[in-house]
Amino acid sequence: MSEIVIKNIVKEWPGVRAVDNVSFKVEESTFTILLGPSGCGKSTILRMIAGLESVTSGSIHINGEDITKTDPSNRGISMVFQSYALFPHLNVKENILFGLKVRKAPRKLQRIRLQEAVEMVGLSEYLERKPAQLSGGQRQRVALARTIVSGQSICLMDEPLSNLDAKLRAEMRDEIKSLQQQLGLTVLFVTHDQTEAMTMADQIILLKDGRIEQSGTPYDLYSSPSSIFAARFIGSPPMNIISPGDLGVVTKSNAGNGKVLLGLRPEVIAVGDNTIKGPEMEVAGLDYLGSETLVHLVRGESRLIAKLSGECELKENETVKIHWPASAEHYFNHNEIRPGQ
Amino acid sequence: MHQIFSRQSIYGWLLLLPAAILLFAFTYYPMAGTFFDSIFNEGSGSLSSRYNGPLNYQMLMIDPVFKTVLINNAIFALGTIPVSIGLALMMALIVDQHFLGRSLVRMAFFTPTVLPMIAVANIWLFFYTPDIGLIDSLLAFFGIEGPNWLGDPDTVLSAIIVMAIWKEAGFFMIFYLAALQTISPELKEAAKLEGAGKLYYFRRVLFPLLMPTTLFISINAVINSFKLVDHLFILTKGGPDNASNLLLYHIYETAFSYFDQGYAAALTVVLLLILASFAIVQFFFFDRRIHYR
Ligand SMILES: Nc1ncnc2c1ncn2[C@@H]1O[C@H](COP(=O)(O)OP(=O)(O)OP(=O)(O)O)[C@@H](O)[C@H]1O
Ligand SMILES: [Mg+2]
Repeated sequence: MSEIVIKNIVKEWPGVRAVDNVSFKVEESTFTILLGPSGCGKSTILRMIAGLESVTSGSIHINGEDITKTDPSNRGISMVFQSYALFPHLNVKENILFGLKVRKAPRKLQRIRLQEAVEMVGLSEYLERKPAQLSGGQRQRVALARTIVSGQSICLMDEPLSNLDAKLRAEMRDEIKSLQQQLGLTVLFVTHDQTEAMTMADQIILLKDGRIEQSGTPYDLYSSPSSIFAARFIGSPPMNIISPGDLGVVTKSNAGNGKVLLGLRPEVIAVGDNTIKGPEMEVAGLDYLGSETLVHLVRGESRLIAKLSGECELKENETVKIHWPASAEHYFNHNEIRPGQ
Repeated sequence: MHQIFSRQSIYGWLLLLPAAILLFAFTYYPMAGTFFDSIFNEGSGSLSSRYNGPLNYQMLMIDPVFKTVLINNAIFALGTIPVSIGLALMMALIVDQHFLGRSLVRMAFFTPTVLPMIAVANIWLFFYTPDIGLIDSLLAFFGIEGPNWLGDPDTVLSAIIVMAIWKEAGFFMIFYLAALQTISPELKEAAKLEGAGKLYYFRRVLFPLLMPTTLFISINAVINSFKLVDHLFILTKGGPDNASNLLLYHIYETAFSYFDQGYAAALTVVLLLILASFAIVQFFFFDRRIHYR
């Protein structure tokens, strides 16, 4: 068993409450992602679990054991850092074996583990190289190999893909995910990239200002966001939030209980000529993305983005009608709006 | 040949020219001049200078003072360099940590460096003064009669070594501190997670990563140990009985007290050779095992 349970942890620095009463559970052999904007406390939570940062209050449990005050090396975790934390003076092999050497593992075991790990991440040809002689992706693999070799079943990763270019990032995403499944690792992964979160996670924990905004599976967060923040953070481009009145549409009856803002994902909006039924809007701009086109629509103060697949015949300044299925409507409270949303 | 005189390379040479002229005028020309001086007799009055071959160098062999200053300088170098580098590293490690009053401690460690050597010598003269000096007064408090630190051939060189360490360590600390701050804190955290203790981390990670700095500092330290003689003017004038005399001070005395320019030039050539060979050994020998980023 290797599950992580966080109970009411708080982290305060003078004048900052970086983590505010956060509780969650990471099930064994699952992939959990801590997602949130910059400065919301993701790294701080991860570092507290690793033992690199002390906890102001609350407790951390691994396998049912309270490890809040245990030494980092005895928590049974490994960690992949954002800049990989490779030792620049050691070659790949020595970097990978660093932990086993510290723990004075028998040479034979070192050799076997090294062999395994190196094959898994495809580094066999680079064992004698120094980190400076590796590409970003290869360095990333060394860091992963170090985790594999450590034999720990829990792995914490702090934005490990953020230094890679888009293509490599997608590749490493798959690689990390398959590694996790292959080894049955319990992974807690920090990112501010919602695509990463959606593609990799079994569970997403969405944070905002040191608190959990919403948690659940990627499907949960996408299909039923509990707040405007959650709605706009997940999905690209973000969900449109509009006042139904501005568009001159009558909303469903359940809009009566104080929820007066309408949320529509760009991909549910259909755009057409007078033959379809719905409010009229003007095309303010078009972003052609190849397989799809983003249509910017305006009407008075209201702005919408619709995502249309395939080619699109629309022109700027054209007046169109839009339509969406009633089942795709989300409703939010007016008072949830804060500046910047 | 055409490469040297191609249009491009002429530009290159022209760009180098100002630096080359300065280097030549103030470094290589005097070096060559020194060498010529060392093999010619000083012309004085009606006598013109004339070639006297290796005479000055033969004199080196039989000059007992030369032997003494060489040995003294070796002791001085061996006494100051490892200790001041070790101390510098220790101080840097201390002030690299976060604690209250860190800037104050940093400044305290660095202060001796900013003081001119002459001022330092004056301070230490007060420490070392027999009977009424700080050290002897302290010893007297415990009923011990302190020696005449600077007047006794047995203690004078050690006394000067201690002072030089005090002066140098803070300077070297700055280099270590700068190097430490370029090392990512993630390395320490990664090592910690793997179970590496402080000592292991220092031995296997920090120290190797500081090697380039150590090399740089040690070259500087060697040069300094031959170059720093200001304090001798204040404290001992090389005495008693040459017990604290160092090579450069001996050169100064030979040239400006005994007015033997030719012999002083020969001594200078020896000094240059010593320094050059140290630099070469350090660069070519250590360079290979040192990790450079
Ligand atoms: N050592 C520290 N002292 C004081 N405040 C800190 C410290 N470390 C972090 N903070 C503050 O805590 C908050 C959370 O920081 P944290 O590094 O956890 O953010 P993050 O979610 O990882 O952001 P990013 O995505 O930019 O890495 C920030 O407001 C930050 O300024
Ligand atoms: Mg972070």
